[in-house]
Amino acid sequence: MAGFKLSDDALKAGTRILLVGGRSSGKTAALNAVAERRADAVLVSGEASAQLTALAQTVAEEISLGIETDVPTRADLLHAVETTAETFGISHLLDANPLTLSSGQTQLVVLAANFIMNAPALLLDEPLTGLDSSARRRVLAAIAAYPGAVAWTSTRPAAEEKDAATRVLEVEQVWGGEFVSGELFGTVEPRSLELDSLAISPDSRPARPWRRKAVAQAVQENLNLHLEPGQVLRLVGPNGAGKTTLLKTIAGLLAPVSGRLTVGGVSPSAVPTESRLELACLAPQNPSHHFLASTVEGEFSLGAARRSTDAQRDFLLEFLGLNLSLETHPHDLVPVEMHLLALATAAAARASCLLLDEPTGRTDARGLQRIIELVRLYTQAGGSVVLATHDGQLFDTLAGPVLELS
Amino acid sequence: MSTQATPPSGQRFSAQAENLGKHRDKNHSKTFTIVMNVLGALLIIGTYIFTVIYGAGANDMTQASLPLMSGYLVGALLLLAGNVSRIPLSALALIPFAAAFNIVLGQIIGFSGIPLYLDSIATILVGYLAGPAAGVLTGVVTNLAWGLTVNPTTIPFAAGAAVIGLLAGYAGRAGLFKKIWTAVLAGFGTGIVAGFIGAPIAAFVYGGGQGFGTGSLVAAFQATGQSLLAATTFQSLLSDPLDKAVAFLLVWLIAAAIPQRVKNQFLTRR
Amino acid sequence: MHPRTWVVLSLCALVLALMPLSLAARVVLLLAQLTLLVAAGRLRGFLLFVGVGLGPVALMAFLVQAVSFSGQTVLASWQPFAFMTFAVTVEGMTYGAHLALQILNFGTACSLLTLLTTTAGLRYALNSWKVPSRLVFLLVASLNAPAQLIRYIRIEQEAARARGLDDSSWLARLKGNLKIASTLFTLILLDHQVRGRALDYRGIELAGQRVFVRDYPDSGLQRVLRWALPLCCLLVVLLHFGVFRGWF
Repeated sequence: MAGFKLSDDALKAGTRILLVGGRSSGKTAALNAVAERRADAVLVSGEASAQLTALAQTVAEEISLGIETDVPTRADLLHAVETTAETFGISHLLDANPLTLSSGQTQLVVLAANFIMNAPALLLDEPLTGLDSSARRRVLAAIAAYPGAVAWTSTRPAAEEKDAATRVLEVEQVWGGEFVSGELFGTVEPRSLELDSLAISPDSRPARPWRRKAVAQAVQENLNLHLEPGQVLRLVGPNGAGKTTLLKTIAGLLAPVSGRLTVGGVSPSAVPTESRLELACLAPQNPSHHFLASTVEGEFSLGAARRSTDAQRDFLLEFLGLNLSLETHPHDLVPVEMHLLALATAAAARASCLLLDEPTGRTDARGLQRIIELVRLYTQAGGSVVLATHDGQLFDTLAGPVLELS
Repeated sequence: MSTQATPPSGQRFSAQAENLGKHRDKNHSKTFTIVMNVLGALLIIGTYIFTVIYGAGANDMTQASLPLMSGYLVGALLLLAGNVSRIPLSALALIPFAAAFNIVLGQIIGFSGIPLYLDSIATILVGYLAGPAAGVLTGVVTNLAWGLTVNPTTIPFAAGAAVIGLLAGYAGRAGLFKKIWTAVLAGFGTGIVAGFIGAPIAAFVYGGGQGFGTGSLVAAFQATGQSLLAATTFQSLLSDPLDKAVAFLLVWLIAAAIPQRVKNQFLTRR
Repeated sequence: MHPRTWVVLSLCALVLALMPLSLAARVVLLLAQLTLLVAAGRLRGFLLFVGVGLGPVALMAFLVQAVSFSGQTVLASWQPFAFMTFAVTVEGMTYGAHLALQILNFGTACSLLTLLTTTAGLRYALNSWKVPSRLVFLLVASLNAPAQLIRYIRIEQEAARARGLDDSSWLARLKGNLKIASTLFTLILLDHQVRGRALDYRGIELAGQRVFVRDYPDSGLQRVLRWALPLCCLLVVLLHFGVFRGWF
C-alpha cells in the first residue's frame, strides 16, 4: 500500500495530525519513519504495560522519570507531575504501584509519562484504544493543549477525534466482502443465563479443597438478568466499573460474592473445568496473553477448543478472514489477526455462552464486520453472547438487552 | 502549589537534535570491553588459584573468606562494567526480566526438593539470543538481585553465573544450539567450568551447607579424609554438569517455540 | 535515615561479616545488625528471610563441619565404611559455628540493604554517588522485576483456566505450567523491544544529577557516620591482615 508520508514541514509546533487507516495501511510505519529521522521525537507505540520501565514503584515516580534530568528543582518536578496527572485524570493513582493498574489506567499512565516531557514532536500509535469516553476526552484535550507537534493514528476514529486534529490523513478502508455460509459451524447447546441479586468482586476466587473462599469487597451489587439462548447482551460502563469482573464471574473464573449466577441452572464456578467450559467461554481483552501454543494448529488443540473438528476449525478461520498457515506462530500475527484468532479459539469451544471482552479494540472496518457476523453466527447456532465494549459502532450495530455498570 | 514552577522545557531534546544520531549510535571502545573482560576473567581465575594453593591441606579456612569474596566480586563487577555499555538498550531492557525469571524458577525448584538448580535458564537463553555480553550481565544481575531480595546465599556465585552466560553466548555463536545433542554437550562442559569456579565459595563461605542433599554429600566426602575444598569440588562436579546439561536442553526446547519475529530482532544485531 | 547511610552501613557490615573474627566478635556483629533491624521495625520481614534461605544454610554448614571435620578432640564417631569416618569433634563444632555465624552475618548485611532502603531510595543513593545510569537501571529494575513477572504468570494461569486447559491431575497441571513457562519467555522477549525504546525516550541512560520525587532528610551525624564507619572497617581489615595479626 502507498501509505502515509509525514514531512518535517508538516510537523511544526501546534499542528495535530490524525492518520486514519486499517490493517496494513502503513500508519504505524509512517510514525516509525519520523521517529527514526528525528532525534527530538518521542514515539509511544506498542503494548502499554511493556512501556513501564520497572524502575518505579509508584505512578508518580514512573511519570517523573522522563524529566528527572530536565527540571531545576524538586518543586518544579512535583508541579509538573501533578498537573500532568490532573490532565489525564489519574491524580488519585499517584501513589499506586504501576503494576497493579487496569489496562486503561496503565495506558493513561504511559501517555502521561510521555506527554510530560514536552518533546517537540510527539507520535502516538492508537492512543485511545481501550479507554472509556471520559478518558478519551481527556486525552484529546491533552493533545489539543500540547505545545509541540502531535501526530497520532486511529483505525475507526469517532467524530470528536477528527475534530481535535488540524489535519486528517485518511486511507480508504474496505467494507463488505464475501462471507462463507454459516451452516458448517454446527450447533451449540442452548442454555439460559440467570443473574439473581448478584454481587461480584475481582478478588473472589472460587473455593477449592485446598483453598478457602476469601471474603471480598463487592465492586458491583444487585445485578439481575435473564438471558435466553440466541440473545446478545451488551455490557457497557466506564473503565474499572467491573465489566471484566462480571465476564470472569460468568466464566466461572471468579466466584460470586453473594447472590446467584447460573448457566442452564448450573453455577460455573462450582463445577470442574471440563463442565465449566461447556457453560461459558471467555475471550480476554488482550489476545497476546491468551495464546499458549507455538502454532495456530496447536492453539486449536488446547483445552476446550478441541471440541471443534478440523473442518469446523478451518471454517472458523476462513469465516474470520484469517488466511493463515496452520504452522504460523500466534505471536507472529498482527494485532488485528491476533484478536480474530483469539475469538476463533473461544468460539471453537462451543460453550453455551460466548463471552467477549472488548473484542474490537484495534480492529479495522473489515475486522469489525467479521466480528459482528461471528456474533450472529453464534446466536443462530443456539448460543448466547455477552460482550463488553466501548466501541460505539459495535454497540449500534447489535440489538438486544443492555446492562450498564456504573 | 507554586505558580512560579517552570515546566519541563523539552530542552533535552533540542540538545539531542543537534547531535542527531550520535546519541543513538554510541561507539564505545571495543578495547575497553576486551580489557575489562580479560581483567575480570584473570581476577576470577587468579582468586581461584590462590584459594586452591592456600587451601591445600589448611584446616582453618576462615582467613580465606574475604580475599575470595572480594576477588570474585571485583572480577564480576569488572565483567559487568566492561559489558554494560556495549549492549543495545533493548537487550538492557530484557535483562531484569530474565533475572526475574531465573529467580522465580530457581526459588520454586529450591523449594520442591528436586536435586537441580535450574536457576540460569534465562541467562543461557539471553546469552544464546543476544550474545555473550548480555549473557554475562544477566548472570551477574540475577545473582545480585536474588541475593538482595530473597536469598543472600546466591550473591557470591555471581562470578560463576557470569561465566555461564559468557559460555552460553559463545556456544550460541559457535552454532552449538542448532542440534540438540551439541547443546547438551555444551551444557555439560559449561557445568564443569561452573563447578570448579563455585567450589571455593561453597567451601569457604558456606562450608558446604547449601542444602540437605549437597551438605550430606560434602560431609561424606570430607569424612573420607578429603579437605573441604576437595569435598565441595567433588560435589559440584557431580551436580553442576548435570544441571547445566538439563538447562541447555530446556533452552533448546524453549528456543524452538519462540516466534520468528522475535528471533529476527536478535539476528539483526549480531 | 538517608538511603546513603543505609547503603554504607550494610556494605560495612558485609565486609566485617567476611572477616575472620573471633566467635564472640561475630555474635556481637550479628546482634548489632539485628538491633538496627528492630529499630527500623523490619524484624518480621527479616525473620521470613532467615526462614527461607539463610537459616537452613547456616544450620547445614554447622552440621557438616561438626560431623566430618578432622579434629583432635573426638566426642563421638561413626564409621559406616572403612574409608569414611564421621566424628563429632570440638574443633569441628568451632569451625562450624564460625561458618554458620559468617553466613548469618553476611545474609543479615544483605537484608539491611534491601529491607531498609526502598528501591526508590537505592536509586537515589546510587545516583548521588554518580554510579553509571545503566548499572543503576539494571540493579533497581531487577529488584522490581520479579513482581512484574509474577503478574505475567497470574495472567497466563488465568488464560489457561479460561481456555479450559486440563487440570484434573497433577501431571496435567505440570504440563500446563510448562506451557505457561515457555509462553512467559515469549512474552518477555516480545516486550523487550518496546521497553528498550521506551527507556531510550524516557532518558533512562542519561548521565548527570537527577531530581527525584521523594526527598530524604539528612543530618550532620549521618554524614560523619558515612565516613567514619568505612574508615573503621578499613582499619580493622588492615590491622588484621597487616602487622597485628592475632589481636582479634
